[in-house]
Amino acid sequence: MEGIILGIESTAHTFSFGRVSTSGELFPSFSSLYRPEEGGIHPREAADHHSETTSLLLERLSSSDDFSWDSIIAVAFSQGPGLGPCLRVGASVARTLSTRLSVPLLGVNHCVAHIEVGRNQTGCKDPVLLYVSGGNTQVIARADGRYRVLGETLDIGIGNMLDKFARTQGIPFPGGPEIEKLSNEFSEKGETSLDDVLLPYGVHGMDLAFSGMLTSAVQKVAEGKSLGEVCWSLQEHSFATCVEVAERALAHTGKDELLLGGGVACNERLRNMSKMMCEDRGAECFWPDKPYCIDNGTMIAELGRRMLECGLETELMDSGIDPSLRTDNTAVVWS
Amino acid sequence: MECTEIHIWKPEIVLHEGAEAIVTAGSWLGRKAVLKYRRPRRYRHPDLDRRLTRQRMAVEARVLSRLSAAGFPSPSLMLMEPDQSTMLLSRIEGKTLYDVLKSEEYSEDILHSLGGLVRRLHEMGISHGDLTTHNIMVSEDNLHLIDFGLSRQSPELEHFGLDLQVLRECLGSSHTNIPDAIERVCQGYMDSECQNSDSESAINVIERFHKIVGRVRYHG
Repeated sequence: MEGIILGIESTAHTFSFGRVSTSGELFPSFSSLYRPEEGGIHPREAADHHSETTSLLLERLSSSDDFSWDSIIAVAFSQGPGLGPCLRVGASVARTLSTRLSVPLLGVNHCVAHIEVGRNQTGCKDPVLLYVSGGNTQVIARADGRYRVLGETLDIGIGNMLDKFARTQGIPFPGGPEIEKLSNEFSEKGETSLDDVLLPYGVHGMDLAFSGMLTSAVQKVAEGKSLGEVCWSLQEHSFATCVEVAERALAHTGKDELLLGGGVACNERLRNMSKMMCEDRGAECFWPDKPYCIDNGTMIAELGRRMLECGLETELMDSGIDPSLRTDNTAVVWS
Repeated sequence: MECTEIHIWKPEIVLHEGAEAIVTAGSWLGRKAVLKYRRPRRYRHPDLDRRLTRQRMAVEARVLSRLSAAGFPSPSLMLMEPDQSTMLLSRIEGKTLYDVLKSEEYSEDILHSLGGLVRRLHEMGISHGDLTTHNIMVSEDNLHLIDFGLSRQSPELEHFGLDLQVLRECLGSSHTNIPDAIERVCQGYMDSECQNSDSESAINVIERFHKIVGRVRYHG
């Protein structure tokens, strides 16, 4: 059946509605980002933000020129992993819409959605995914009917690490873009040396760790190193660990495509490093456009589309959220 | 390959292009050997790349010498050219455990034996740091460990636990045909404890390993 699949994303800071057509055409999302006044994310406050912006976002969505409620043939939502209170808002809205429109409901694995939207946008076939976001840092590849986690962070996600560092320097959420800007300003000044700003390098096989790097970076600023220099060093070290484990995963699996996903995949330095690594070993590197790297409703719709094609609808009784849903929990039956 | 200075080295075939090194099989002075070349990683800042390459070569050389002296099944270091980032190692004939487990032609107790071998390494006060099935060789049913670039001498309890975590992740993602693989390894690890070893006890390492598993995101 021809039509549009609606996707709802609400795992953490972002509340977002997106669409994809049954033929796989992606439409931009309508999103609202919860920004804490101070400190990190408070799950209940973020959930309140999502509830309060629901009407506004739905209104913006439904008043866009190419939208009609009649065209919606299914509603997909992030079932996990993520923050319980936030997930619950998205799930409730999805259940309501699916019931009201009498269309199927599709509970989607958020991590897998990052992969599928990347595959749709870039045309890569069987990639290793380097998934770098606030909460997640994983290298993932498909094997035996699942997306398997080959390696992951042993402590905090890389985006979370960057945000925490930013917060200690008075930079508001999200910290990544500002760190990238400061880092560029520093490195554009000319010859750079890491010798004065060496940080711990946490690679353990295909796993990685960031908390030692974070502590050390905060210390470097306290010791009087310039913020720009430390931001630059932090990027050099943390991205190198990610690209190294990605290369380890390529070597281990014998695959020759790398796909970037997650908010940190917006960073140009990380993209460049990944590209260089792939070029040097005869692999190809892909990344989706920035709006599809960050959390967005369209990616949820896209995975919903793949599931719908395979008849994987979610019954109301099974539509409960799962905050700790693992990537390899989801059976991958589509091609 | 830039290894003309290694005298009478005859390369034959590239065995593996890893994330750290290119491994080429060949012969050196008539002996079967492998050349391990750590080519610069262009994606890394040169300062960081040099530091990591130096560190990893140094630790690998030290650990391999200790292992050879103790008769531990691992390659022996024949020659090293730090300026060229190359190491010449004895060649272990056989297959990687990765291939052996995929072929499904292996003896029932191979994972139990692996646990015992890892325990033996740990009792020497050495952690491996990169315990994937590509770094374990099977040669006529005997297991050998290779690739010690991420290993540590006198590591903390955490690093022993991490060896098992890295192996768990690898077995769980690449060898799903053996669902209880890591349990078998852990059993072998426990069964091989040497009573008068002064390193961390096997039970402490296993406990730490379970803590690490509980710490990663959305553990099973």
